[in-house]
Amino acid sequence: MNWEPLYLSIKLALFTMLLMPCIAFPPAYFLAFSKRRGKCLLDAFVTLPMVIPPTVLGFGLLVVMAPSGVVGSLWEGATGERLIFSFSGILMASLVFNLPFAVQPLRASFEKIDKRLLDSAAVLGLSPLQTFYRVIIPNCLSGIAASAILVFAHSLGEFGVILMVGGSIPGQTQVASIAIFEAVEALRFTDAVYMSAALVPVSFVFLIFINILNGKQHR
Amino acid sequence: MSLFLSVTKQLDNIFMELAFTCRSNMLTAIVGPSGSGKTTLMRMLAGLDQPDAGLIKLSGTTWFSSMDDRYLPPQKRKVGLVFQDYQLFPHLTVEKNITFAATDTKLSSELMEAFEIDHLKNKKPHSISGGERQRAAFCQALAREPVLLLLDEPFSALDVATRRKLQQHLLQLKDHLAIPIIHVTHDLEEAALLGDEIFAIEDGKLSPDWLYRQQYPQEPPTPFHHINLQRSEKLNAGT
Repeated sequence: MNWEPLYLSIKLALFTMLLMPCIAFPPAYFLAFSKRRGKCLLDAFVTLPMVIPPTVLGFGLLVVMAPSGVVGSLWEGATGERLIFSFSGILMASLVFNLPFAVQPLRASFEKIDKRLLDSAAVLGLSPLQTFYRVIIPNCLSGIAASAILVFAHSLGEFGVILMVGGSIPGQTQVASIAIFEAVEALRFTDAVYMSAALVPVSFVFLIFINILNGKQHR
Repeated sequence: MSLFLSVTKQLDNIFMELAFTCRSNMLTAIVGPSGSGKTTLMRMLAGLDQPDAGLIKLSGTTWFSSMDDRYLPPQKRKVGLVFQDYQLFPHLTVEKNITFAATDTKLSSELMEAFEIDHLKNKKPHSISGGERQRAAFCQALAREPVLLLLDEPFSALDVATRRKLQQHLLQLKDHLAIPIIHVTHDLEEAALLGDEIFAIEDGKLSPDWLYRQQYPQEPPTPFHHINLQRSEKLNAGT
């Protein structure tokens, strides 16, 4: 039994979860607090990966991440490596695919914060950026934890987008869900059962860990 | 140091048009019915809302001028603001709340002692009483060494005994602060007790006869009703 796909899935989920705040915080903040007109356009754009079929999204990403695509050529120029069929490629795809799952709970959490606290912070001299990390973040930890849970769990089970962008290269892009699919196709049912059963405790332990963090915040 | 304000602002249901001056070492009490624009006035002074037109100046510094297209954001006004409630940051202890924007940590300690909350410094806001929270809120606002102190109904959520105690605290504090203080309240007695000067606002405008109408609801205003009531004697004379 080869456990490498499971390790790769966990690695992908962890990297996605850790990098996600960098791309999810700005749109979530804008959607929660801005009164500008373009808000509904951004909302639709950010939510798009949630509603379009994963294969369609995967195909779109394949086009832009291929060596002839905009992102792919920029990546190759900067690193000298091909983006598609690499771990970096599936990580980038995973970030795009999971963006709405991160932004929605973050946005809801930011919207719940008492606006008078933000007024108070402004009057006390804090810039919007300082208010964000000194007031908003510490008071939205449960929303951030919820967002992290969703992103991690969702990344663990990714299939369509990863297959389109990364293919199934053992040790590089063959994550657990793809390995399970291939095992079933090859009638290796025992491997499929073990791999599937292993995903459950991994998700379970992660949920417990996040809930403990969340509980500490409320105490 | 004195504050000058002359502004207009269109709200949903009223047109605000206000002009007055507040001097240092004086507490100006603002009274008036709900929805008359008192809180909007405080927000404009704090820089949280912008007037449509007019001028706000504190001594030589222009905070807002529609003529010069100048607007000083709240971060640069150095105002102390105490709300009715929900002012303290729930994730921080009382001490960290007070030193949050303090210019001098020694001053923060002195304020905590003066307001008798130094024994609560390690507690979170949700674990102390409403009166203690408001005392901490005063410390937080004063620790920044503000150039203007704005009090937006700071005692209205408190029980009578705590309110009386904090009112006395404010009376003592007032003499030591060389800055203008503006205090919005619904409580006319409180305005009379604390205010060196009382302005009534009704429908977004200064209303010289509003106080008179509260005191004598059945009688028509006298020819002298427009004179601003000065301190409590004048209000109490009518009760």
